[in-house]
Amino acid sequence: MNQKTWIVIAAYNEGSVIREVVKSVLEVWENIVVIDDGSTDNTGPEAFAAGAIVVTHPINLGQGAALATGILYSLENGADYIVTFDADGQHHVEDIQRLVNSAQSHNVDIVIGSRFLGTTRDMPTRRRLVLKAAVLFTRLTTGLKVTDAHNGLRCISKDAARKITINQNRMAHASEILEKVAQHKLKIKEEPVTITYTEYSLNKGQKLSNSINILLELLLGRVHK
Amino acid sequence: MTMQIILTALFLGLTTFSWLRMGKVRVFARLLTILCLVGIYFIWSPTTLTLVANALGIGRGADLLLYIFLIFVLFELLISRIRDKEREEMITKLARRVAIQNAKTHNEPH
Repeated sequence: MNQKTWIVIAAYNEGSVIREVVKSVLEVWENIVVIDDGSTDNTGPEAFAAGAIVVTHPINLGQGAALATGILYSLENGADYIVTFDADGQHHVEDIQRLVNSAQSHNVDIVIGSRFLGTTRDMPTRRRLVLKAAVLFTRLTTGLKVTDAHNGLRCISKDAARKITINQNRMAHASEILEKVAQHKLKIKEEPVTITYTEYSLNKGQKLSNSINILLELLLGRVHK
Repeated sequence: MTMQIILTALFLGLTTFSWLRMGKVRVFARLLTILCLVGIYFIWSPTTLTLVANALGIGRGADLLLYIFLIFVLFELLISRIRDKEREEMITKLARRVAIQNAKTHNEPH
């Protein structure tokens, strides 16, 4: 592969799993940057020991801010494609290659993973409902015909990454990315990916109650702009 | 009568405070003094305030104050939310720069 791909992993207090996740990605990919989002545990040292480059936020800013930092770092280090990957181990490394291939061969700006096109292991019904509601919301607000709005596995081309500036520091960034995609009329494609729900990832994941916060943050972001 | 005396004292105190603390920004001190004087006037002549309220289609002077207060608070809330967001963006940019400059890589230049 002559084009440079950077894998961006945003991590906040993932000390118990980050080493394994980084190692598994490093088996295939060379450029990995872990954004330690002001963790209070040993996430940073663990990720570094596993072989990743570690960029540490001096304070906790949120997942959106961490991804933005990772994307900026990747761009400044010559990335052609940037892949965002979750730190909690729910994504599969094999899916990265498929996303990158898809971005290159179809010449699209952004490829997002969809768990609803792919296989999902042990997804609770409640989680499914929340995610489906989010998809509906995204379809209504952006007009994009996506099947999964909140998948952390994405592949973004460098040109698209420069256009998609993430201003939502916390969890509203997933919707924000798609809004920017619609706004800049970027070419988007979905690829099926596998998500494995473990007890660990479920505990770290989004709760239903937080959807209200995300909606509020998105609205406030609009007022502000 | 008691409440009127307390409020008057409060407004006079506020005026004095504004002249002592905002001596350099005369405009604000003057504006605040005028507002306080108007306030004191209405405290002692609530019927005048009611007349003003009636002219605006509001029944009582106290209601007029309530509405003005409500508008002011909501406006201030919105402004401060926007200011918070801007400050957050500034802090984010600063933290991001610091983080990237201190990136830990595996091939440090010797």
